[in-house]
Amino acid sequence: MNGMGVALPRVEDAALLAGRGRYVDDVSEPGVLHAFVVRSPVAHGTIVGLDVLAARSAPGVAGVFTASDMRDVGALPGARGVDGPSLPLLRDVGDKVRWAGEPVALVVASTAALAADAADLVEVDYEPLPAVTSAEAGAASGAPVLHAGSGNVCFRERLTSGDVEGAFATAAHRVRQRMVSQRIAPVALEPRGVLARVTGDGGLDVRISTQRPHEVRQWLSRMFGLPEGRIRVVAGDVGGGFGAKGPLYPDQVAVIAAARLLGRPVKWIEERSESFLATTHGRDQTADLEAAVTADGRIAAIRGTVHAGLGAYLTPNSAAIVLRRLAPLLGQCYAIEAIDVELVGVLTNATPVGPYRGAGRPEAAYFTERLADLAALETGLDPAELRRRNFIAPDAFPYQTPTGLTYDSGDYRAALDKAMSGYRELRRWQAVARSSGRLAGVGLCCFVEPGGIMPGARQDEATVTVDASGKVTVAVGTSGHGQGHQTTFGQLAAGILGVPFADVTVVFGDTSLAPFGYGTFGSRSTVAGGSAVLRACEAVLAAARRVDAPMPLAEAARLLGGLTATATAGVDGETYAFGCYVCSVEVDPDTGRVRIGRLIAVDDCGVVINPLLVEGQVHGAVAQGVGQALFEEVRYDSDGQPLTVSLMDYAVPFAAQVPVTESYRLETPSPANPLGVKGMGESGTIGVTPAVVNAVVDALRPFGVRHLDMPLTPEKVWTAMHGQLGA
Amino acid sequence: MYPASFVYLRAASVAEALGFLSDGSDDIKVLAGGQSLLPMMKLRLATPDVLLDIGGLRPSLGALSVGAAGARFGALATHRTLLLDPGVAVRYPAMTDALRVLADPQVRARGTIGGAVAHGDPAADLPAVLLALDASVELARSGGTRTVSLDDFLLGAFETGLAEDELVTGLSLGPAPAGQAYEKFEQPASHLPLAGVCAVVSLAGGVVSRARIAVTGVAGRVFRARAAEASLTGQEPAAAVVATAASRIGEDAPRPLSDIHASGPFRVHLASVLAERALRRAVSRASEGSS
Amino acid sequence: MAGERDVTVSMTVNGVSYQRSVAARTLLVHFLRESLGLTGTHVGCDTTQCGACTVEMDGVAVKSCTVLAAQASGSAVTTIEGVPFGAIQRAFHAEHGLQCGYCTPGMVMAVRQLLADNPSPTESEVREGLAGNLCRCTGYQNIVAAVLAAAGGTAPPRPPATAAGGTAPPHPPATAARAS
Repeated sequence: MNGMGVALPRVEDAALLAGRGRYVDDVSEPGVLHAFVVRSPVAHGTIVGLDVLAARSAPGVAGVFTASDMRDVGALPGARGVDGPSLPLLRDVGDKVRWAGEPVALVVASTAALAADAADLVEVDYEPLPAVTSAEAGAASGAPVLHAGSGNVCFRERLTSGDVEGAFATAAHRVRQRMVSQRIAPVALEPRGVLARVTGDGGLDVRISTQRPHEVRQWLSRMFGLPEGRIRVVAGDVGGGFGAKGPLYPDQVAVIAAARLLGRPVKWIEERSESFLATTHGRDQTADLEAAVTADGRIAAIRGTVHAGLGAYLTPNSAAIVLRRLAPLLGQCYAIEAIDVELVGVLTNATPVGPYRGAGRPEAAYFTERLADLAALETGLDPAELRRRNFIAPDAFPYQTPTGLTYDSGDYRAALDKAMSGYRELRRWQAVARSSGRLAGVGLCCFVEPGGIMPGARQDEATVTVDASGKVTVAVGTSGHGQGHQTTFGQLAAGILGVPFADVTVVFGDTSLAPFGYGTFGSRSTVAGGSAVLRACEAVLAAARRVDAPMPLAEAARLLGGLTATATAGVDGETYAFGCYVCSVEVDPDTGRVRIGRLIAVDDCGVVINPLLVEGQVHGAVAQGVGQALFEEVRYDSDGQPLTVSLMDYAVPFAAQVPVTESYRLETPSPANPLGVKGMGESGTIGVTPAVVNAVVDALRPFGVRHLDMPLTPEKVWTAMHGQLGA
Repeated sequence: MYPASFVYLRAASVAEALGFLSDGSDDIKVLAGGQSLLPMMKLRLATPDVLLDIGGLRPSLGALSVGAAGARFGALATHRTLLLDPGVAVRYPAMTDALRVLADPQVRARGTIGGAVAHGDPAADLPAVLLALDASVELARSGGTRTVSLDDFLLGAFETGLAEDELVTGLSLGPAPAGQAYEKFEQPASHLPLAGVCAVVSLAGGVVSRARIAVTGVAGRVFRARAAEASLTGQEPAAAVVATAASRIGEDAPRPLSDIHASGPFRVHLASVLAERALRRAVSRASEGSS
Repeated sequence: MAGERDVTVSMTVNGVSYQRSVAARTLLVHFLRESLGLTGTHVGCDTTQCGACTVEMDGVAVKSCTVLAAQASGSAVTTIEGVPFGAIQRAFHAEHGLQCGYCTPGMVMAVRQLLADNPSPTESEVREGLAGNLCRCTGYQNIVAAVLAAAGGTAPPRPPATAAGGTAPPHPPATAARAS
């Protein structure tokens, strides 16, 4: 098929490079007002006083809103699959606040600066309560309770399969380790924002920095009691999302409600420091897991407990991240027959957790790959050899995992083999370095990445239109925000239809222009959107064949006065990209600083439409994975006060801190969709973190270090080597 | 993100600026490059009633001159200007070391040496170098001028000897030995030093005749590591001597800073590692150049 | 001269002279975006780190979020909209040096300064020269490749100084890593 496998530079670039992007803050409306969110400074407390009078009469203020003003707005969606508290919109006297940063009131004024001034005048008195920010502590008896009438444990589920007891009874080795996948912040460079306008028919026109415009429209329809047809949601250009711009947030809904109450357009743009409090965080899982390992290095079973810190309220994916991504994936690419893991979801006085690049998959890969390295240590096997002995065989696909997943296709040995020459080079380098006393480490990670369409999810759609002049418009329901979908779907459609790429326009992100989409997140768009585009193109081609004689599509369109077709993705399958990442590190024995030397990334995401863009996704995901391994952590003090509330303290990697990725690709097509493609946008985040940590632990072998929790800061690494310094 | 409102004054001359400062207006802050003050104002950690912009005084306060007899930097000389100055690079390479790793290129283009000194940040790169180079601070008020050593000027965290009616007008350095170097260990988010050490050594007859070692990032103020200096002076700068000196770096530290990025003891440890590296490089530069 | 809470600022932006009355506390980035409608310059943080707001002021790249409009009065400012589409943008395009595009205008402005100061940077110098600019999408690799390409060198980036020494395998060039 033309258009496939072509490294086409992006059509999106010209506008963005000229500063002509249209992000939500770039757009305005006549008479627009500006909002500022008053947030709780305490992690847990009761509001005993709330005085908005001074704020209401401050210069330029159009309104100050609290919970009572939101009475007529329906509730935000809770978490799918589990009972638990969803986010309230705002607060009032008598209400509790449950995390530092929880929205309390909304100030709307003629300028953002005046709204900020007035917000300083809102007086809120809190009676503080003890706070708990760790999941394990939150689940313990005696912990401060967040929501009256229910404990902090909002789900406790056990995933079991196979004969775990038997596996452990006969195991030659057992390796057990407590591991933390720490709480981190997505930090998309564009903060969240929304611009809401009430339309003439009482509907809503909402510009919002989102990954899921149709979902937003659906939720707004429910919450405001408006038909979807009277709500338009436009994403426009979105400056990154990484999962955190999937949920609809209380601050955004309050702004929209304010626009309706005031009858004026209202805009709200999150401030960066605010985002560390207000935007969902990722990860925050503590695992205590044990592997039963046979004498020849096969992992026969995994058992243990994972505590997930969910934050103060649930968001739509709170449970799914743990129960449908983390837990079933602990087997990774290995034929692990038995599993018995308890998953405990705990509400804590912290920012609510949501999807963040990987969402459960990085945690699974991290926990299992650390266990695999410990198993290698225990058995004396080379870590690569241990992986090899555990791989699911290439002829076993589609593969049913004991945990209920169906891996579509895979050849894990091939991915490892591709990385092996680099791995061997690095082991030789390590031997030489070690002989002169340098702290050199090599680590690897083999992983799978589920993506594509989760079973049961509503199908995305695409509408392909060939106008009478032969030009093509592809409107697709997915909602790219940097992934290059205009290019990818453009070249896909051009190839299938047999028209020049320059004749194809791709639109998305606007509910009035694009057919239904579930959104862009979770490595799903190439499968979901691509499949829909493929089927819509095929339907157009079929329609074109109504013309008597065979002729070019443009001709047929001219004759018929235009052609159009809408199709759903038409596939139900998840895809499982996979890979093998190898990395070398050197640790400075004097300072504990870790430097990554080489990073070899082998990714297999099936058939590739645009390898340039796929590689770009690997690079970006790798940078975030390195960030988790070495630099990033959201921290709270014992009162639940956030300690990392700006980029001064939260270390998003800069260019000098990110290694070069040597990126290689294999292509094992997916049978789960006709294109044979697999979602891969999160692979780098999944693959690199364990490789880096494994490499650092390997480097610290001379000190007998068995494990070290992330982020591997200089002090942490140094202390692991030399012991705690006295005060 | 939005500073609180303030009254804005723009000084047309040094005399006018000093007049504003002396007229008793309570809450007036001087705005030079703004790379330290504006970030604080944007977070509303600083909310001055009056902001006095002296940016227009670059003709009088921005000059720099470097020569064999010493250097003088006008307060409004930007970090970028200093970094690009060949005279600074030749005669004060420790300054160039620090300027290269200070903040980032855009911030260096606006931040000034006077602002850096007046701000009194205990984790700032340049003051450590200036302290090790025995800098003097020139101050002016409506009534006259005075000069004070930087060591006396820096009092504590964001606390300096700057009187309310005074302006920093310049910094001066005497001639400095070739043996100088600045080493930094960065906090990855902020680029600020978790520890930064400047070593300035003079060698005479193969022996350290004079040593200055200044430390930033570790304690509540940039400080001179006098015990370390003393243990070096009069000795040949052999590896063991340097190591001993470096190990004494913490003895003069006012209570070390402890935060989520590094504990106090680890900061002191980093300082000792950096001190050894800075001393080694300084000694090596001393042997390359003439003292 | 009496102080005021509002100031009249006069500046030339992208070659055009403007005079506006604004609150003294107005940041240059907000002046450009809101008073002049030049929304290509972006706000990504509030602690002067991310560099998305980088513009050129009197010939030098600065962070417009940390300059008052009043400080820029009398100056000549160039924003991304005033930069002709040249070698840097072409290289970003060819090397896929942008994804969501939010950091991109600031990145381009910073790169203009970097190459003006150092026309033939090494890979390491490029990465250090971008110490004032954050990107969360690209992982910087293609941005670095773009800068090196714009600088005219097609020479492979040198291995990072911290890579294995001695008999270490040579560090492969970033551009050649685009292999299957």
